[in-house]
Amino acid sequence: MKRYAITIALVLLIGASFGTYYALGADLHLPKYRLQTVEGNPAEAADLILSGSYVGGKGSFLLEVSTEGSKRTGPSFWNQWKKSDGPLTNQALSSDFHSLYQEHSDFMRGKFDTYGFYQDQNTLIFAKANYAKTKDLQKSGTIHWSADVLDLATGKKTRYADKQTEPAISAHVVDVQKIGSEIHILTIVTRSGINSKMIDNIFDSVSGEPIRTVQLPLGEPSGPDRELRIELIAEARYTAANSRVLFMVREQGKISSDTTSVAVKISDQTPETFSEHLYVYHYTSGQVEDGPLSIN
Amino acid sequence: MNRYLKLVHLEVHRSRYMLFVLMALTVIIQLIGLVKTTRLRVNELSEIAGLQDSAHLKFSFADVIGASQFWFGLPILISGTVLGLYVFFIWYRDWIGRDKFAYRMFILPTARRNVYLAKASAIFIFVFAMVAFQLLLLLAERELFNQLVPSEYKMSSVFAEAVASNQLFDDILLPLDFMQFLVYYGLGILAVFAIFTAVLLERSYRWYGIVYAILYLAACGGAIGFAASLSYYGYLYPREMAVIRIGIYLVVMGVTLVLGFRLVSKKITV
Repeated sequence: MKRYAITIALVLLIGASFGTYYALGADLHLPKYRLQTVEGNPAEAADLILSGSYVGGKGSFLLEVSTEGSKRTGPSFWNQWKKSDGPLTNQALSSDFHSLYQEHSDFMRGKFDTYGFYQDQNTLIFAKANYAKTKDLQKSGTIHWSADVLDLATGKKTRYADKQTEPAISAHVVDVQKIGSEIHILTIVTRSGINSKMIDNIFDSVSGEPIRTVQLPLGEPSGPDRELRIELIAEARYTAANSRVLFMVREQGKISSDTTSVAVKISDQTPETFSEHLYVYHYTSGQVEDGPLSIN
Repeated sequence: MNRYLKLVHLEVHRSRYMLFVLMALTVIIQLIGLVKTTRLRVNELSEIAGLQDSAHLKFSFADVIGASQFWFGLPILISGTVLGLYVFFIWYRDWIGRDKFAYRMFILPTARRNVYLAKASAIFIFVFAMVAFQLLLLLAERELFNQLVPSEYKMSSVFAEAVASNQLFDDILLPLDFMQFLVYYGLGILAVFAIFTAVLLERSYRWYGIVYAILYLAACGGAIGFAASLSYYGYLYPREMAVIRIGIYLVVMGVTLVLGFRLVSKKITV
C-alpha cells in the first residue's frame, strides 16, 4: 500500500477538494430575501415572483424572490433542462406561452416572435413577416407574410401566405387578430430615409386567400429633419383577442446617418422628441382614431 | 481491475516530478503576484488615507485575485500547455525512450485496453490534481492575504467570489455551476480519448495513420461543434437539444473508445 502512496494521496486530494468546493465553497452566499405581507390577503401574493438582478461583491446575479424566499436563477444548463419549455418561457409575461408549449408543442416548434401569436377558444394563430432584399439594392425587395392556423377542435393546421413588393429595410408583425372570418396581421414596415409604415394584411380564414391590405394613416412629419416612429402598446397577454390595437406615433429628430465621423455626439444618438400621439386602430372598421392621451 | 490500478500508479509514478514542478511553479508565481498586488494596494491606500476618510478605503481577497489575472493565469496556462503536450508524450516516450518501454508495456499479462485506460486515467489525475491543488492554494493565499493586509483596509469576501473574480477560474477551471463543470470536464475527457485514438492511428498506420488521425479528429470536432451550435432559438426545444447533445457525446465517446481499444489490442506495432 505504501508504494501507491502518491496516487492514493492525489486521488484523495481530488475527491476532498472538489467535494468540499461544490458542497460548500461554490456558494456565493447571496443575501436572502422574502416577500412578506404588510397588509391584505397573503393568498393573493402566494404566486407572486419578482425577478431581478442582485448587484454586489464581484458581479451581478439573477434572483427570484417569492413568499418562499429567494433563489439564484440564470440560463444554466440544468435550469434550461429542468424549467424551460421553449424560448418564450423567459418572457416577462410568459404564462400564455407556458401553457401553449405544454398543450401545442408541435405547433409552437420554431416559433419565437412574441407578438405573432393569437389565441381564442377555437383557433391558435402564428403569423410572421420577412423582408427579402434583392441582389440589386436599387430595386425594391419583397415582404413575405405567412400565417399558421391551428383549429383547436380538429387539430387541423393550415398555412396562409402572401407577398408584396416594397422598398424597406425590414418588416415585422406587431399584432395578430381574428375578427369574424378575417385574420388581421398588423405589420410595421421600416424604411430607409422615410417614415415607417403600418400595414394590416387581411386574410379570409375560410379560403386562406389574402383579401386586402390597409395602410394605416399616420400623418407626415412637420419638417425634413424629423421622422415618425411607431410603437405598439402591447396587451397584457400577448395572445389576447381584441377588436382594436393601441399604438403610439412619436415625431422625433432624425438620427444622424454620418457614420464616417468619429466624433458622433451623444445628442445625435438620442433624438429629440417633438410630439407623441396615441392612436386606436379598429380592425372591424379599418378606422384609426385619436387615443386618450397625446403630448404635443 | 487490480492490474489496471497498478498501471495507473505506474504512469502517475513515472510523471510525478513533472506534476510537482508544475505545482511548485504555480505556488511561486501566484504568491509573487499576490504579495506584489496586495502590497501595492496597501501602499496606495496608506497614501490616500492621509488625505481623506479611510472608512471606505477597503479591499477584499476577491479584489486582489481580480487584479492579478496575469499572475494567476500564467502558471495555469503553463500547466495547461505542459499537460496538453503530455497527452502526446505519454505515448511517444514509450517508443522514443531509451529502451522502448512499449515492448514491455504491451507484453504485460493484462488486456491491452488497460494500458490505454491507465494512461488516460493518469492524465485525468494530473489535471484534476492540479485544479484541486489550486483550490487548496487559494485557501492558503487567503490566509496570507489576511496576514498582509491591516484590518482597517480589509473587506471580507466569500471564497466563491474570489474564484469568480478570475476569468480562467470562472470560465473554465472552476465554474460555480456544477453542471457546467461536468460539461466542460466531460468534453476535456472526450478530447483526451480522441487524441489517444488519433495517436494510436498514427502508431498503427504510420504515414497513412497521420491522415487517418487528422480525419478522425476533424470528424469528432465536427460532431461536437454541431452539437454546440444547436440554437436555443431554432427548431428544437431545449430538452431535445440537451438529449441530442448528450447522444452525440456518447456516440463520439463510444466510437473513440471502441476504435482505441481495437487499435491498441490488434493493430499497434512497436
